[in-house]
Amino acid sequence: MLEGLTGVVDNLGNLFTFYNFMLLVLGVCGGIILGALPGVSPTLSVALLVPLTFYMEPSSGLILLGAVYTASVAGGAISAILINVPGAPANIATLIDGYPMAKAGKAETALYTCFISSFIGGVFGMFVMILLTVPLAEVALKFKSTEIFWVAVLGLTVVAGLGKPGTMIKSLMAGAFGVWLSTIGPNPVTGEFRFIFHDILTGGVHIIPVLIGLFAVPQILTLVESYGKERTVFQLKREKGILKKTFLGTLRMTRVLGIGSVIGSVIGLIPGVGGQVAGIVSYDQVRKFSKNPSRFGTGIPDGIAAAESANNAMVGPSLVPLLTLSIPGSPTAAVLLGGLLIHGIFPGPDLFRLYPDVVHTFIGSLLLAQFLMLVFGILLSRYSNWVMRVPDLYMAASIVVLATFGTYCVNNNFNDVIVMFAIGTLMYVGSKAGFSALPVVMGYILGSIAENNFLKGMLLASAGKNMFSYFFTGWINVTVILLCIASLVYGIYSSRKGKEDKKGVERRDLIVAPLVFFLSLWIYKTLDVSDPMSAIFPTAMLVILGGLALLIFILTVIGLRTEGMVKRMEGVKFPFSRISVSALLTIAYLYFLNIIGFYATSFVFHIVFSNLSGADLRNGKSRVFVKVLISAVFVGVLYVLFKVILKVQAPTGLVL
Amino acid sequence: MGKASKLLVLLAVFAIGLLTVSGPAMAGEYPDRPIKLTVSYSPGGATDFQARIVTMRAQTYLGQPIVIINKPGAGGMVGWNWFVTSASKDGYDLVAYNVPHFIAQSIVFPKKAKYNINNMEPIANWGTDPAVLVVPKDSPFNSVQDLVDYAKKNPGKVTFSGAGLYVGHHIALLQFQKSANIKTRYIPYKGGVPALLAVMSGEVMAGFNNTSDAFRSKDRLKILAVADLERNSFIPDVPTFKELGFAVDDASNNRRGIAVPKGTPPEIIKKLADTFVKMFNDKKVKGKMKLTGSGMKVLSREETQEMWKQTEATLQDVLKGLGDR
Repeated sequence: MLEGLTGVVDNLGNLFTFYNFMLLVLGVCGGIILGALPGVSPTLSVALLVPLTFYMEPSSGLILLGAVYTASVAGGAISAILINVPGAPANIATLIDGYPMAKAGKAETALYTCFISSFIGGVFGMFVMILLTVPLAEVALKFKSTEIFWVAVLGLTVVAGLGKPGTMIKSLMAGAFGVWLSTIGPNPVTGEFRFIFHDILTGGVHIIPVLIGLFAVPQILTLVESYGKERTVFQLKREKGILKKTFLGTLRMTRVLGIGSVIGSVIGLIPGVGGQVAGIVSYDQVRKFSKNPSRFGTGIPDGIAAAESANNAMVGPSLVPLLTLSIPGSPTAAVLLGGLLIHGIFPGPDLFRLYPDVVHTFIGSLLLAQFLMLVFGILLSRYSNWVMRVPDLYMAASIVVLATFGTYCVNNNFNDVIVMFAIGTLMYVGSKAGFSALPVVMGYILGSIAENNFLKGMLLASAGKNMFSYFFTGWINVTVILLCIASLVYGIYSSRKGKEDKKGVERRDLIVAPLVFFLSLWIYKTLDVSDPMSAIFPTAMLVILGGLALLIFILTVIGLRTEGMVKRMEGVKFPFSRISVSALLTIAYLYFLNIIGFYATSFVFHIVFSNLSGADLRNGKSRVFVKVLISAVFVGVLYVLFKVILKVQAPTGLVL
Repeated sequence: MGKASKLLVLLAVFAIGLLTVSGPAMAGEYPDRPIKLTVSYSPGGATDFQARIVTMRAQTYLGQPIVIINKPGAGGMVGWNWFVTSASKDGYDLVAYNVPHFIAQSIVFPKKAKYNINNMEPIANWGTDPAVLVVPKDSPFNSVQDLVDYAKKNPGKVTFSGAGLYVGHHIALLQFQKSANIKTRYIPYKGGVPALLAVMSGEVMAGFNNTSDAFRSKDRLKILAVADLERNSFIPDVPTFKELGFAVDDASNNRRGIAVPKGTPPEIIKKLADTFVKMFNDKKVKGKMKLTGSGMKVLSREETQEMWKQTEATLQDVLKGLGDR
C-alpha cells in the first residue's frame, strides 16, 4: 500500500529536470485555458495533445498529458462561473452558484473557492488512488450492467430538484426530455435506429452539442435581450484580502469538501459513469444535508466547493481501472490509454512492475499539477473582473464563435453545430415556459447509461436467470436501490417542507402543456422499431412527458378557478427585433463559415455582432479602430492557439 | 445604422477581399498540400493511433504530411457516410476503413449506410487484429469443446460479449455458432474494452475480443482459440478454430487500411497505392507498430480489393436475415 507513495516520492526527481518541469507548467497553463473554452472538455484537451507527445520520451509525454488532464478539469469551471456556460459536462453543477456570484460582483471569490476546493478534492482523489490502487481495482470489477443501471437511476432521482424552486413537475419533464434526447440515433444494444428526423441525426446527438446548446444559446440570447440595461460596473481595482478570506472560508467548509471529495472518488471509480455527474450528485447531497437548502442557487461558495471538490476528486480514482486493469473508466481515461499505448506502455497488472519509473513519474506529475493548478488558477482569477466587464454584445458574439468552434472540433462535424443551435433555440423557448437546462443535461447524460445497461441486463437475464432477481439481488444493487428510495423520499419530503413560497399557476401553461402533450404524442407516432426492447425507454419517457403535461394542464385549470392567476411580474416588452436580428446574423455566420472559412468569417461576424447597437460608435473613428482591434485580437488568439500550435481543424473555405 | 457602423461594415468587406486574394495558390504536382485522412473513430482508439503511426512518415514518402481528422459516431457510420457523400475526389481526402465493420454495415443497413465496397477504392491495407475466444480465468470451460458441449445441452444460455453489433467479434461468434451448430446469447458492449471487462468480471460466460487486448489481460482470462487462418505470434500456443475443426476463417479479423472515394483519378490512386505499401513497410513504422502490440499485415491495392470481395461474400452468407430495420 505504502510502496505506491514511496515510489512516487522516489521518482519526483524526474519531474524536476528543467525540460519536464517546463512541460508541466505549460501543460497546467494550457490545460486551464483549454478547459475554460466551452466545448473543449478534458477529453478533447488530452486528445489534442496526444499527437504532440508522439516524439517525446514516454515519461515526458505522460507528464504533459497528466498536467493537461488535471488542469482542464478545473479550468472548465472558469467559463461556468464567468459566462454561465460550462466548459465541460463535469462543470454543470458549478454554474448553479458560480454565475450568480459572478453577477453579484464576487467573481474573484467564486474562482478562488473553485480552485481551492478543486485542489483539495484533487489531492484527496490522488491519495485515494495512490494508497488504494490494488483493492480499488477489485471494486471497479464489481460494477456490472445492473449495478451501473441503478447508479444511473440514482443520478436521475436528483433531477426533480434541479430546477427553480416550485417547478418540480417541469424539472421532471425536462429530465424525461433529456433522456429521450439520448435515445435518438442507433441503439448500441439492439442496433436499431430511432427518431432519425433528418440525416444529420444518423449518429444520434453528441454530448457536447447538447451541453453547449443548452447553456450557450440561452445565455447569448439573454445577453442580447439585456444589453443597454443598467448593469453593475465592476471595478478593476481589486479589493485587498479576498484571497486570504476565501482561503480561510473554504478551509472551514470541511463538511462540504468532505462530502464532495468522497462522492467524487467513489463515482470516479465506477467504470462508464465517469466524472460527468460527480459534481452534480455531490452538489445535490450537500444541499440536502445543509440547514438552509434554499440558499443554494443564490450564489454561495458552498455550492461551488461541493461541485468542484467532487469533480476533481474523481480524476485520481478514474485512472485506477485504467492503470491496473487496462480498462478506462472515463472517456478521458480512454484517450490517455491511447497516449500510453503509443509509447508501448501497456497498462495492466504488470504496469507497476515493468515501468515503475514511468508510472510513478506520471502519478507524481498529476499530484504536482494539482499544486501548480492552484497557483496559476489563483493568478488567473485576479483578472476575472476583466471578463465580467466585457460589454454584453461583445460577450454574446464571443460565445457564438466559441460555441461554434468548440462544438465543431469535437467530432469535426458541422452537423453538430447545427444540432447545437437547434437544441439551444429549443431550450431558449423552453426557458420562457419555465423549463431549466440542468435536468435536461442530467437526463441526457444518464439516459443512455441507464438504457444501455438496462437492455444489457435484460439480455443477460433472459439467458437463464430470472429478470427480477437479476436486477434486485447482490449487495451493491440492493444498496444503490435503497439509496434511490432514500433520495426520492427525501426529495418529496423537502419539496413539501419548502411549500411556503408556493407559486400560483400561470396562464401560459394553458398553452404550453397541450403543446408538449401533442408533441410527445406526435414523436411517439414516429417511433418505428421492430425489436420491442428498442421502444422501452423512448416510450416510457414520452409517456412521462405527455402525462405530466396533462397533469400541469389540469392543475392550471383548477388553480385558475380557485386561486386566480399570478400576473407576470416583469412588464418588460420582449425585444423581438433584437433577437431576430441576432438570429439572422448567426445564421448568416454559419452559412458563410463553410464558404469563407472559420477565422475570417468569425472576425467579420464578431465585429458586426458586437456593434449591433451602434450605441457608442458615434464618438469618432479612433473607437472604430479599437473595436476592430478587439475582434482581431480575439480571433487572432484562437487562430494562434488552435491553428498554429495545436493544428486543430476548423471549417475551412476560400480564405481561413 | 450610424455612419461609424457603416464604416465598420466597409472595413469588414475590405478585410475579406484582402484575405481572399491571398488565398491558396493553384495546383502543382500532386500532392502539393497536406492530405486529410478521416478516421471514423475517436482519438485514442486503436484505429486512430494506428493510423497516426502508419502515416507518420508521409512527409518523407509523399512530400506532404497527412493530417488525421476524427469523425466518430454510430460505430463508424457517421465518418464513412460523410466520406462517400462529401469528400473530395482529388486525392486530398483519404479514409481509414475497418473491415469487416463497414462491409457488414453496408449489408445490414443498406439504407442508413451509404457506403459499400463499390463506392470506395482501396489504396492499401496496413493491419489486422484477429478475434480470440476468451473465458474468465475461473471458468469451467478449458477448451472450445467444453463450451460447445455445454451450449448444446443449454441452448441460448451461454452469454458472449463483444465490442458491438456487426463488428468482427459479432461476426466471429456468428461463424462459430454456425459451424458448431449451437445457439448462444450475444451481448453487445460499447467498445472492446468494456466487453473484455464483462468477461473478466464474470458478467458474461465468454467473449470474442481483440488479440492484443486479451493478451494484455491474460492473467485474468483463458484464451481458448483464435479466429484466424494461422496461429498468432503473440499467443503461439493458442490453436486456431480451423485446427479444432470449426469452419471459422479470417472474415472476422479487424483489418485496417486506407481508401479513397470512387471517382478519384486513376493516376492518383496508383501513386498512392505504390507509395503507401512502401510507407507501411518502413522500418520505423513497423518498429512502432510492434512496440504498441498492433498486428501488421500489409496488402497491396489488388490484394485488398480481393480481400474486400471475399469478406463481402462471407458476410452476405453469415448475416443473412439480419436486414435493415
